Amino acid sequence: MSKSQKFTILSLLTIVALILNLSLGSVEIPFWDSFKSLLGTPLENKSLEYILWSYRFPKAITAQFIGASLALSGLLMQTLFRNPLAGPFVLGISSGASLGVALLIMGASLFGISHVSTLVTTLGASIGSLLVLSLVGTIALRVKDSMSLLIIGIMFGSITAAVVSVLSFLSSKEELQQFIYWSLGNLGAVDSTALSILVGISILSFIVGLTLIKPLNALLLGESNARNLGVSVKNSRILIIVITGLLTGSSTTIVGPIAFLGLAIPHLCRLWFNTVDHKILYPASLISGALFMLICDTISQLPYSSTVLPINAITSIIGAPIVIWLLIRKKKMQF
Amino acid sequence: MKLENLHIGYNNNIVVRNLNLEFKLGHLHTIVGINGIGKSTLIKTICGELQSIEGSISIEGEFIKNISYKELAKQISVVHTSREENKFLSVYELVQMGRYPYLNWIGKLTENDKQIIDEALALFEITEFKNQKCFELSDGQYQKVLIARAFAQNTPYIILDEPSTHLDLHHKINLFKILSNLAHNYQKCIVLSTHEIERAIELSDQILVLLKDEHYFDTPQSLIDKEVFQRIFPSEMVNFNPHSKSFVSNDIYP
Repeated sequence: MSKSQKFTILSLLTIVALILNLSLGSVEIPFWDSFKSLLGTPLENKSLEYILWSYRFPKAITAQFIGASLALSGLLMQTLFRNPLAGPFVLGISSGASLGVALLIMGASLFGISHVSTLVTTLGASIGSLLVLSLVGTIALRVKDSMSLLIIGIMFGSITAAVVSVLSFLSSKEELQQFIYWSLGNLGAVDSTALSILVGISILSFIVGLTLIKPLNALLLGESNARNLGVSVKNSRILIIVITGLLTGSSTTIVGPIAFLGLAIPHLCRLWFNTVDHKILYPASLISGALFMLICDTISQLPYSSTVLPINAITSIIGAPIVIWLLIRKKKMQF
Repeated sequence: MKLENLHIGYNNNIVVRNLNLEFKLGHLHTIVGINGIGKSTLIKTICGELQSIEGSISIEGEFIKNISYKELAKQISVVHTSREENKFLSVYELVQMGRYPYLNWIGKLTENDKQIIDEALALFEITEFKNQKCFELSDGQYQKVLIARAFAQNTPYIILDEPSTHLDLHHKINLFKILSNLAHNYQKCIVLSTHEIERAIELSDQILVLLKDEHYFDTPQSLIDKEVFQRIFPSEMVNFNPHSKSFVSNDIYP
């Protein structure tokens, strides 16, 4: 199968997954009705149309952009750090977001505030992730090799995790519950402002990120070789970190720290396309990330029931066995 | 390429002092010396990775520290021994990266680029492997791919840091033949560091011998006449035989 055929299959699958995602849920909307509505024909049943356009469609868009963002962040981190275990979380950005939210939710009672709104958690997470991002960015200017940066990122993560533990130990049952709800991830809680910020930041990053394809390929030869090929390793590294920070930050802010996807999707793409060339992996990760997140969201909303499972758990439950199976079958990881 | 009054080292810790010499196009130059004497430091300084402590390196009158990464990549190509390359690149993908300094932002190859890549593949007899992944190759084949990459970069200067390290005798000799061909038939300036002193004597035009606190840069024959090779290694262990142009080990346990 040629690479363009594989891309066609991925795109078709994403469209099918989108329509399925719109159709299935606590209320079933017939497959063809969702399809027609997507193409612009108004539905006869106004309440279905309302569900479709004001709840499920924004949720499906959120899922796709978050999937694509996290997958791309994972790809960038793995190439920059030359480490197959790197993901969008290694820089400590999502821990920063967690800390921001934890401080707001669990620290609020100290100021006599009993309930914290979604908008405020979003704000807390953004400030937290931006703070860690700028710290890591400043350090990236001073530290010479990427391996030290990776370790510094992990250290940041463990410091913030420790502070979060202390806060959770001291906080009340209700606050703890609210924090855990946030951290489990919820695609449905996105309002239109947050969604447009996510979409804006993602599209901008995807476009600017295109200029990284050539430096990323050169980095496959190692940093000194990349430099000898005329690539400014320092500038590329900063741009990679800023883009990852923005993508991870905006996703985490909205839906909590969604684990796993950013680590696994780039590996799945390498295995399926049998290449390490970023000209292929860049678009492949974006589409596969969106597709994977749509499928996970469809499953998490448990068709025909009113329960919604945490999306964060579903991504790992479904994704991890796929990666394990692919590695056992192919016997060798493309890294 | 001119090295003038060059002092090199790390953090003001000078390793080699006062280098004054010229690497010429069409010549094969070898740097030899005992481990830790400063061969790699010199190579890194020449290719712009390390700042010199004093003195200057210039190409056609221009100091390399004033040349941007992008322009330097069109003058000097480097083959490292670090083996940091991702082994899942195919041979073609790796060689093609030699064209990076000339390509646009997305890295699109022109017909001219493709021709140069094909020429590089043919010259190093690796065309038949071009779609294989690098991890499938032997060390000897892989070394050729790395040099083909440098050749595709189409620079007048090619610098190699201990390229013979992972190779068996047959491939070591082949490597020196290839490099000598590049220097003499393609008018490249080749500079390499190596421990293969006997091969270097046989095939290089000039050898830079780094000793503790001094160095010699001359043709192999005049270095033999000056009895420089005898002084590379501690004499109680190894000795140089000027007639056979080879090293012999002393029987240290009679």
